[in-house]
Amino acid sequence: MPLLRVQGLSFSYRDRRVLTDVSFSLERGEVLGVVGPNGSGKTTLLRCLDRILDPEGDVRLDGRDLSAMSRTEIARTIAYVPQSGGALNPVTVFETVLMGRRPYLRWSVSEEDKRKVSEALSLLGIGGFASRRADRLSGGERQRVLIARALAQDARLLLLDEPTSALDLRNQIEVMALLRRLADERRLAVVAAIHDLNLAARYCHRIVMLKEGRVLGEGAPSSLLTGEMMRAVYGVEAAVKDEMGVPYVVPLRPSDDGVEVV
Amino acid sequence: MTHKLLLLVCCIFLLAGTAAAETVPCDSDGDGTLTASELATAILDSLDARFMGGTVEVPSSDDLRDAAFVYEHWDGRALTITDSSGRETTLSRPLRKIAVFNSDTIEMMRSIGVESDRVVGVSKYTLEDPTYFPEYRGKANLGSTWAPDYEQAAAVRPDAVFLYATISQSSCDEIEETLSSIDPGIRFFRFDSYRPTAYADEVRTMGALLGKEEGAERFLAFHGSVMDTVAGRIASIPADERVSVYLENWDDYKSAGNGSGYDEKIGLAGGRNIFADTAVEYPAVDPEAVISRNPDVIVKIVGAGELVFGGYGDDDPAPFEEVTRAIEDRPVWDRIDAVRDGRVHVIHSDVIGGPEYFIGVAYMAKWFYPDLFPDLDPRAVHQQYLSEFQRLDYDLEEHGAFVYPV
Amino acid sequence: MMTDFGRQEYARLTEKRALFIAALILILAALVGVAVTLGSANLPVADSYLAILAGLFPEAVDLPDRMVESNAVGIVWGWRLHRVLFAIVAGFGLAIAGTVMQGVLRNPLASPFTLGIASAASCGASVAIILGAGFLSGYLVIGNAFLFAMLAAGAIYGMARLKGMGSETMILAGIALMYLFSAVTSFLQYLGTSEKVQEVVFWMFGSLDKSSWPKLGLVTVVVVAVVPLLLWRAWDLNALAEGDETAKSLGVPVERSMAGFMLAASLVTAVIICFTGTIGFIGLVAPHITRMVIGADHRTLIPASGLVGAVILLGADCLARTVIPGAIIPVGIMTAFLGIPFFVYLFMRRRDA
Repeated sequence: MPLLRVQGLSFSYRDRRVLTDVSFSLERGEVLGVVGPNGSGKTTLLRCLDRILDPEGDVRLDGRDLSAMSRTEIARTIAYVPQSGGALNPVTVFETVLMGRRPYLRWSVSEEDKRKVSEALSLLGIGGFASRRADRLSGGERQRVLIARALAQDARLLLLDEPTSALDLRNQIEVMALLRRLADERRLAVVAAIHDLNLAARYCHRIVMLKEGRVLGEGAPSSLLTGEMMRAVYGVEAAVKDEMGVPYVVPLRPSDDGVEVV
Repeated sequence: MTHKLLLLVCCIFLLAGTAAAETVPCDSDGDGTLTASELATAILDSLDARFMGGTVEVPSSDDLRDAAFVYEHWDGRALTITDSSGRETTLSRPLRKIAVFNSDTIEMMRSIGVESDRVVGVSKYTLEDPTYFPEYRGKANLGSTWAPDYEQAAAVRPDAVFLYATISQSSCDEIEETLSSIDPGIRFFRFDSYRPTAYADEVRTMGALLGKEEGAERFLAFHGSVMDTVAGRIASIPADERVSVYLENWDDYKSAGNGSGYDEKIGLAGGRNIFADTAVEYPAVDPEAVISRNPDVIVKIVGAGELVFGGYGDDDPAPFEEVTRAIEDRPVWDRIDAVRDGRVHVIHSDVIGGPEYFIGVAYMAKWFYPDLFPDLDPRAVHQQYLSEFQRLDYDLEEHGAFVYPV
Repeated sequence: MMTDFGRQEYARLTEKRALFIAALILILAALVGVAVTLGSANLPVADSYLAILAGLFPEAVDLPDRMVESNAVGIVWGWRLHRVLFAIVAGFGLAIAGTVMQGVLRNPLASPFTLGIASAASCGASVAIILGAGFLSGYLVIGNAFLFAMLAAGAIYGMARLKGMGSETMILAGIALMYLFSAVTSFLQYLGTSEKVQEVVFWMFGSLDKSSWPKLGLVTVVVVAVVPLLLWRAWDLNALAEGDETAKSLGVPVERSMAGFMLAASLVTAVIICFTGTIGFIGLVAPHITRMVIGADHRTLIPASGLVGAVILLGADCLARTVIPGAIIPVGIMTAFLGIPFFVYLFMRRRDA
């Protein structure tokens, strides 16, 4: 049974349709990349998966209907890493990651909670600045803290919204490699909304292409990343190369056959 | 918790022997009436113990003094008086140490002859007016009704506190509540001392309370000579022949409406307030409304706001005249009868508000109906009030600025 | 060790927080010791303490004559003591209300008054003072101030629950309410006589003069009832600070939590300011100071802020009673004077950072 199964998911903000009939599934240990132009509904999709927003349709986690689960149960199963644009809270890194334990916390912090935090910090390679103020970190460090928090949640499914947008080249690669490793080594399922097609192609097992709230394609990067898809989804003429078995997209120019670019 | 503490405090006092007794002092048979013979016995016993070495249990000199007072002023019996808030209090001893929050009440007390040594604390407004209240300069500062200084009020150990009756009621209630919890033996009395309708009653009540019945009657005769004279002579004027009046206080175009004190006083002087139909107490009026209602007389009050001049501390009449000119110069106001006939008068708030209001009424009556009151000399009335009743060495010829034209 | 990262530092942080709270309690106790000796009755210091003992154990204490004459026991138990305790409870309550507001609205400039509660209470007080109209006869000002404040809080709570409001929307709604109530208050002042207007102004200054044992009891009951609830849900406040989405993803029912916290903070604020008038700056300044020292974990931030607020208010009151001999400055003015240098300091610090 797939860990996550989404069928016919739709969502509207007031009268505006954002997502229409989205369906896909995800296995443990898989990294799924959600790609598409701005406004295609990537962020909304992630929020619907975590029940931050309430969509129509069927979302099942390990066979269980998400809408039947309590908030705390969902929090113990799914972890959400938001876009790290804004500044973090002026608390220590340790405490920020500790917040990830909220679904498990009693009033005082248990030994196990502290242990999980330490583990998460070490996994992300940020054990050294546990006492630093979270609002005084660089972009890469910030992103790692947020991922560490999600890990501390002991969740089986990780949702990440544009985890690489604000990062420099090196950090981008490091973060994506880390996600892939987490999926492979700990059998976590990861859904990441990604801006950069090539990163998605390199590190995701499968990708889902969204346009205007609809799924235009779903599958392995090598099969989805084609010239026609680029035209259809992005309105761009592109050359797709092959780099060590992984597709590599080189955008050339905007298409001029009337395809709307959002 | 509060009651237990109050009880504890009361017990402490009883233990220390300073209980506030509820019986008439020296009333040996305890029947509630102090007779001449009981008083005489007490005096003789006391003399005996003092000079003859007698060992009979004697009343203290305080007791004797209080007993003499009760005998002389209250017919040997406990006195029940009703203050201006309708509260009844029964006293079996006179009040010796009074804390007075209301400056107007101090003035009224002085009118009936109460000496300053019976007052132990006054409001800060009384202390800020040494020209008018010189003998109260050293008294404890009680603050004001809105911001009272409870510790000073408690430190002077008053047996009574005088507060306002109809204004700042919630503040007065709080003062009562807090002072009662500090010292449950304090009595509270509410007197306004400035309202015309309650004036005579308050003077009499104070006279009885403080043993100044004669002073009260003498003052009321004086007060009545003015007010009754005015009332009597204007009674014959029919309503439609009454002089119409526009009254303005120290703020431009702020007049007095229905139910306000100034409106009442205009009526007492026989005038008709052109804005008496306004429901708001102190409305801001439209200058054009004044023009269209065309009053016969204009009365302008100074002494507060931006027009702080005149009164007892200021001898200069010039600002009064400037105010008059300013009113006459208002655009189109030369059409108003009052301006055309030169009947614009300025008066200081000290003589139209507070316990001196009747002087203001006298001035107004004379302005409204000069032919009816040829013999009425408001300045003389004022001088008599100051010299005879307020016991102030203040010559109105030399000092003070209260009205214009003089 | 992989499982040890940061744990020592965290333990030290926890210790530091406990020490801070203990230090505050000691400072507060010392301040109380000073405060009960202050007052224009000029009682000797020993008399003040003796009076306290005499009130607690009347049979055991033999009062010297000078204390009977000065009525030291009456002054201390009837006036000073409950006022000092009231300053502590009021400062504590306003500070924790401010802490909660800053956490809910995610805005370090928020205070208990951000959502229009102070303006509403002032409006209620004005209605009582100027129009003489009110709900609780005999307690017009107090009843009105409380009711109007809770009306404002209820309006925002209702809007938040029905429509679902984020923190920015709540602040906007609060500003709108503030302007509405201020306008009504101004209109009433326009209608009133100068004495009544002055009374309203005095009320808005904020003062502890109206304290009494029953009022102290009432406020203490409310604060003592609310604080454990807030502490119980402190983790939710911590989560809210990370952002609405993060909080939701961590399992916090965000709208319900925000509305509930806001209501609790408003209740504490309303019950205090209906007796004291609008005392400002405590709810703004105390959480800031505390956060600077011990960080933003609300489990300790809330009680520590409360203690800081108590120290500030009691300290301000001591100053207000002594700085001008013979006059008592309303404590709300003193807290404003104390708040201004604090803001300048904050501002200066920011420039350096």
